[in-house]
Order: sequence, then structure tokens, then C-alpha cells
Amino acid sequence: MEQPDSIIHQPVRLKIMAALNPLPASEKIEFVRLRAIVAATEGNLGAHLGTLEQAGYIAVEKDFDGKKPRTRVRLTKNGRRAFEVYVAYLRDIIEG
Amino acid sequence: MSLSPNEAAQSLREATVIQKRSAEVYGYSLCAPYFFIWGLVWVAGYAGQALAPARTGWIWPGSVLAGILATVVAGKMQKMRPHWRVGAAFGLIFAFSCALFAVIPPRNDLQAGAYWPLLFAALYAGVGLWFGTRYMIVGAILAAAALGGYFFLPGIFFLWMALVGGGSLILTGFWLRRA
Repeated sequence: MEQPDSIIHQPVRLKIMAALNPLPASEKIEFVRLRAIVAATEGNLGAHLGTLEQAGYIAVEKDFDGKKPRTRVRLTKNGRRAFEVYVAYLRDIIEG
Repeated sequence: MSLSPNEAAQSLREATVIQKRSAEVYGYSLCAPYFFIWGLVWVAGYAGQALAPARTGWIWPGSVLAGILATVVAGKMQKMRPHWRVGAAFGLIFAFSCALFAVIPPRNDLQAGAYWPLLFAALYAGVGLWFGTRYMIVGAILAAAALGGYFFLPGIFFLWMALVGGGSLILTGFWLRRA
């Protein structure tokens, strides 16, 4: 059996990808909301987002909502494809 | 780095739970503005009916029309393409209600006033079975408010529904936005 995608294989990164996957293509999720869904600490989530961004699986956008700094994240086309492939890999293992 | 079938099943389960949670939260954030809008419609409609019963004939249609317009504007701000099925669903609900009132006419304004919140309470609870428990909770609150007001506070029913029914919808909007 082929090796899994090492980027998504890490449990927190798998959760991040799973949280982003149901959103429409151009839809972004705020960092705070993502942190609540994934149940990760701020530092941990930030580090894993950096890894996923470097891999080209997500896009991170930083801007201001009024005077408040805001970080938003969305899944890229490559990221969505990589997540689908990883889920198929898991299913293959389960079905033997 | 390979996984056993049990580990793979565990990972897939976790991913599925997160996907469901994320979709639920996304749905809540999309729906929040509509709860605000229709909460305000209920406040205006029921308060108008309580304070100026003679003008109910235009207060409710005016409030509902304003609600529909605000809903369309909110949808455009969310860049949502309105689906004809949404309008058709509300058309069916309205047609059903008209048919029901033709067969079993309400004997007074109180009965008619309690019917709509009970209907929407049931609809929200039904939506909640598929799309998130928060809709079920707001459905239960609306039903309790309508039944409590109808049976125990008939003298101030419309004011009660403006404050508790409309207020619950507005608070639900805040609650969904913060999900």
C-alpha cells in the first residue's frame, strides 16, 4: 500500500483539513472559530497552519475587521484534492 | 507511517465528526442574520397587534414584507444565490395554513396568533434534527412561549410573543453567530 500524505497524516492537521473541507470553495473561516472546532491551542494551531500553508493546501489571509486584526483560512484546490486522496487512503486500509 | 485498520477507522471517525461540526457551525453563521431579521418582524408584528389591534390588518403584512425584503438583501450580502425551492417551501407553508384555516377556522385572534409560532417551532425543531441542535432548542423555546402565553397569559399574549418570541429569535441570531 502506498504511503499516506505526511502533511495531512498528523492528527491536528487532519482535523484542520476536515474542518475546512465542508466549506464552499472561496469561503474562509476565522482562526478563532477554527480553533474552537479543532480544539487546539492557539500556538499549536498556528504552527500547523504554517505547515499546511507551505504545502499549498490552505491559504491564510490576515486583515482587519474594523480595528481588530483578523486571520482567516481557506482550503485551496490542491488542499481539497489532497484531503480527498487521504480519506480514500483511510478507506482503503479499512476495507483491506 | 502506515496505519492499522483500527487506526484508520479512528482517524476517519474523527475527521467525519469534525466535518459535521464545521458544516453545522458554518450553517449557523449563515442563518444568524435571518433570525435577527425575523425576530424583529415578530417584535414589530406582535407588538403592533398588542398596541394597535385595529391596525393588525396592515401591521402584519407590512412587517412580513419588510422581513422578506431584508431577507433578500441579507442573502445578496452573503452572495447567496436564492434558490426557488426556498420560496416554494414558504409558499407551501402559507398555502397549507390557508387551507387549514379554511377547514378549521380560528375562533379568535389568540388562536391565529398562537398558530404561527407553533408552526415555526415545529419547523425549526425538524430542521434541527438534520442540521444542528441549536435549531431544535429555539423551536422548543418558541413552542413553550406560544403555549405558555396562550394558556396562562391570554390577556397579554401578543405583547408576550413580541418580547419572548421575537426576543428569542433575536437572541438566537446572536447565539448562532457566536457558534
